[in-house]
Amino acid sequence: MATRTVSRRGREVRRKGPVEFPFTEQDVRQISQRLQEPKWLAQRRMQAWEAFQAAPLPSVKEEAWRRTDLSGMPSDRFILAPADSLRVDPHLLEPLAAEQHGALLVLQPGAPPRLEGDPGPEDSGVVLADWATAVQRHPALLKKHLGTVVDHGEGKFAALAAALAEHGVLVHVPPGVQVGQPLHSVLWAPGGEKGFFSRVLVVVEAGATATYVHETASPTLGDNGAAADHPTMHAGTVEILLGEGAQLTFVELQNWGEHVWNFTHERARVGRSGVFNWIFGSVGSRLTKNFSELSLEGEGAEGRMSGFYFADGNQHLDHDTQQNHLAPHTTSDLLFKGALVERSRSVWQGMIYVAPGAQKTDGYQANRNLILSKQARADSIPGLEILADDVRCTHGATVSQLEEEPIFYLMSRGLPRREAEQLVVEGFFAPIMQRIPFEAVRQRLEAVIDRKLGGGV
Amino acid sequence: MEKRQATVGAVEARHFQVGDLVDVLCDHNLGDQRVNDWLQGVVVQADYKMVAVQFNQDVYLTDGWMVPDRVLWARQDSDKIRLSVKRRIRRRKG
Repeated sequence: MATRTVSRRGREVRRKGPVEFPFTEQDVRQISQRLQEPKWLAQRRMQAWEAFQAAPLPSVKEEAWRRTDLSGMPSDRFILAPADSLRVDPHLLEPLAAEQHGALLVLQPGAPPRLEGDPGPEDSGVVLADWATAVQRHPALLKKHLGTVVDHGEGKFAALAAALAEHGVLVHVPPGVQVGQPLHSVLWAPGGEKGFFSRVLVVVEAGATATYVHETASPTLGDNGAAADHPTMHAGTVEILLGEGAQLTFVELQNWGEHVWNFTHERARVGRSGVFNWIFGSVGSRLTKNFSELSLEGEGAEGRMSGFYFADGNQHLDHDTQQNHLAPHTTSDLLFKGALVERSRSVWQGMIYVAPGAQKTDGYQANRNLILSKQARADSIPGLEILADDVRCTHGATVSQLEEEPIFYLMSRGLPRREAEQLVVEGFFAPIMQRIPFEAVRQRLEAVIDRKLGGGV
Repeated sequence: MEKRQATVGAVEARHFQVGDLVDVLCDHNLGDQRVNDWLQGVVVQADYKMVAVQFNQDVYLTDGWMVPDRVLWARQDSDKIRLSVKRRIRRRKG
């Protein structure tokens, strides 16, 4: 009898679940010892560590993570180690504005922090400090404010950052002090198969005014898929407190290498009549999941959130924003604009929440996306939750492609198509760029747009 | 491990200003022929990003259409514009 041979193709072996992170409780203790932390801070780290261990890795079953899948994240390859000794990109160290060169703090994990310039006049008491200095010289500030804005219980990555952060920035502006020069910090963390964790705490006391720019960056590792071979992660928290009548402009630029998985939990709490201007620029990383929350807690508080993102290649940038109106006569204005080329993807999910009794609130949110490739995708999900009856809240979201008409007019003046398209894209971002108060930063971002468009349109 | 520099770009210096004599690579007439070559003109408007150049003869788009007021635009960093290497060409009178 003839026998039939049946060939079977084995199924692809897939991971069944998320891979464990290699961090241990011993790592947490060692970091705390290296920083010579007081007992209360060491205890908080341990609490955060316990929260991290108790929380499962976020999955697409959770609403906040429904569009950002971490199942492919090689968590087991993120090792706690110093960053490579590659020198800091000189562009990051340039003065923010020709006539305004304030203090600059450079952080590179594994290397001593570098502070150049004075954050303010000697007797003003303005603090711009790295984490070790903050722990040694300003423990009272940390004890009073750290963790009061972003709690380690808010998510697995918030807990991870609170447990393992060895690097960070403390900014403190005492009551009534006007800081004329912008404060500037850079977290530069080159390297592959590493885990970096940071915390930023900004406290602007009543009646004080400041401008602060915080940049996170690293070079992309190699070309031709090498970035995927050397995955790295960054998790961080940003906590901002504005007292009564305080004013702060906070510019935050994310330019991680395209091998970095980046997670941040950020919140600003604005007191009575405080004015907060929050500007985001996000152009780097393999994947970013960013939670940004603006809480207007005092009557008459104002907040503006301006976001700029540009993704290319396989980048995935997810921004989750929340505007909380918790008191009457508060105003918020959010505008996020993004462009996408190649197979990149963006997610913006925004919510305006108006608490009961927060009458005469004015809230606005808009998200505009420009899709420059057929394979690119933008998800835009605005939302309102209003529990007061005398408010004005509006929102809008668009996803569109380049229009031919403006390109035609530019080409009718002799511009090649490619340059015409670049100009139209730059025009699309102009409303956000105009909100960045530094020419040097604007031009750096425009250079990034040009570079990304070089491979896209 | 191969490394490449960070993705931030250099800040370009401003190149051209109003009144500069420049050469622009564009379609124009040379004798009886339409050529694509460097043509001298004057910068009549400039900012950090764009330059407008006025010519004293007809210029054309690459698809053949004439530019009515003989003004072409270019980006400041375009490789199709350069400071003129020749002295100013005077127009014939009469």
